[in-house]
Parts: sequence; structure tokens; C-alpha cells
Amino acid sequence: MNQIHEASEFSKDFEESQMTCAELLLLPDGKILAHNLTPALARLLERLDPQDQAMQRRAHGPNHCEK
Amino acid sequence: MMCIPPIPEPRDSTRAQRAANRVPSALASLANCRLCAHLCGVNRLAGERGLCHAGAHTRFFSAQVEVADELELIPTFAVALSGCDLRCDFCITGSHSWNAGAGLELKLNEIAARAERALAQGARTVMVLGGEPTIHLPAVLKLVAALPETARLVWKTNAHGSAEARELLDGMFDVWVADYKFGNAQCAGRLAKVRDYSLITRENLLWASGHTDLIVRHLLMPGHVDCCWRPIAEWTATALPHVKVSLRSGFWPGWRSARHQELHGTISDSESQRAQQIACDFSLNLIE
Repeated sequence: MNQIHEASEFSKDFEESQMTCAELLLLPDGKILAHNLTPALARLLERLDPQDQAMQRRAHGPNHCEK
Repeated sequence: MMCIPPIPEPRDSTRAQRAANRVPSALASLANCRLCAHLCGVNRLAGERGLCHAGAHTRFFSAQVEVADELELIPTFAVALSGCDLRCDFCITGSHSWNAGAGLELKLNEIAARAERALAQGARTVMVLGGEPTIHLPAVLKLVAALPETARLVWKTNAHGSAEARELLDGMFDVWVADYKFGNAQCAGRLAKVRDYSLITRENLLWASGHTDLIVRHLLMPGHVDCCWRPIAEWTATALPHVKVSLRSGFWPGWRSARHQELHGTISDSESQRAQQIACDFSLNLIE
């Protein structure tokens, strides 16, 4: 759990220090494609679809789903 | 034709020292630029422009921490340099990749400092990409020279570099993420206006597999599973059987995709599943 917490915390730090940019493409079937995915956007997309394990790993670190 | 003198490098030199030592050679090479496989030979120092339209100076259009790349690389501090030697109509960053003058002047010390801060905050890698970074090797080497010796460096490339570029890159990057885009000459010519694509890409991949930790990346394109992905999978299974392969399904019909009827949409679930099955059939070492 600590690792997950740390990964989440440090990824929050990134956005505090600099401007970032990402792009989204929303598809008619509800899918969302993202380009230049930042940690903040990954966390947002994970909240929109909490079942998306791939996004969980990007939002919180590669080992997030192995807990 | 200008020859680049051999680069004397003591065995115990650091990566930063070797990068700095190579900068003069890389700069001199711009007088007869043969960094990419177009080998156009223009004098970029005198204002001539080749197919990439790049001059002697390097600009960048993005530098930030990202988590979209392969899991073993993220979070990565990704620096995207403007300009590219290919002209892929579906390029997701076309407005910057097709324009070497786009973005901001690359201030090396500033970018290196930002990379160091990102690493200190937990970024696992620093990734240099484009456009295509190969056309900016002098600036890239200066950046490598300014980065911490312990930083894990990732080279994200279109695998269309020349032997001269590979020599300058040898030992500079820990990981190569190399795009293998097209499985045949017709698609490469039609979608990216590039000749001898397979020959050049394979030459680069074979070299990279012997010199770095290579990840072969393929972006699935709608309508190109059988003509592009299948031959790529087959060749990779034969020539590089254990290499890491990253199969990406997030095709985005951007830039000039609308010029091609099959590129109007995204990858369907059935195409994505078929592509996965092909990877499975060839026992590819897929990574996420």
C-alpha cells in the first residue's frame, strides 16, 4: 500500500511545478483516447472509469493492480 | 563530402563526457547532413533545408511528465523536439512534427534542470522524442551531457536513422522505443512518402537490439492489420524473437488522416482482438 500511496503522491507533485498539456478524443461509444497522458489526467480518467485497470496502473504506478 | 573524424573515447569516460565529446562531430555533420536515412546531404549550417526542413537550431514543443508510455518507463519526463524526417499523414503531432520551427527554443540547461527535478520527484526515465530526435543529434548530445549519469534515458525514434546517427547514439540511451509503422513498401509510400522503409527500419531495429534495451512499438491503424501488423509481427518473431513488443491500439484519426479513406476512424474491437491473436500466433513478447 505504501508504494501505491507514494506513487500517487509524487505524481501529484509533478503538476505543481509546471504547466502541462494533454489531449483527449471522446468517441461516440463512450471510449476516451488520450494523447500526452499526464499523471493528473490519468487520475481523472481513472475516476471516470474505476474499472479500467490499465488506467489505474498509469495513474498510480505499474504495480497498482497487484495489491 | 565532409568526413567526421573518429571520436577518441577513453574507456573510463562517463556517458556525459562521451556525449560532450561527440557534439563537435554531430555539429560538423550538419554541413552535409546524413543523420536520417534520406541521406540528403544538405548544409544545414548554411541555411539549406532537407526533407525534414530542420536547420541548425533545435526547438521543442512539449516537455512534461507523462504516463502514456510503456509501464516499465513511466512516469517519464518526455521532451518532444520539433520536426521530423517522415511525413506520416496520420501523425498525432503533425503540426509540430512537420514544422521544425514550431514550439520554443530548446534551452538545454533549463530542460536538464526540469528533468532532474522530475527524476527527484519519482520519474523513472527521461525520454527524448519528436517529431524525430535523430535530426537534432547535436542538441540531443548536449542534453545527454547535461543529464545525471544515473538517469535512465529513453530514445523514442521512428527507426529511420542512418548508420552515422547510430554511431553518434551508441551508448547514449539505455532504452530505444522504436516505431515500426508499416509492414510493406506500398503503405509506407502512400501514408508517409518514404522509400525503402522496411529495409531501413529493420536495419535500425537489428542494431538497436544489439546495443540497447529495445522496445518495438507498433501503432495499429484501421484497415492495416493484415497488410502492416501481420508482416511486422512475422518478421519480428523471426529476426528478434525475444524483443519486447508494444502493440498500441489508440489510433487517433488526426492531422491529415482524412486523406485516406481507411484512416477516418479508430481501431475497432475486432481489429484489436485480431491483432492480439496475431501477436499470440507468433509468440511475441508483448508488453503493456
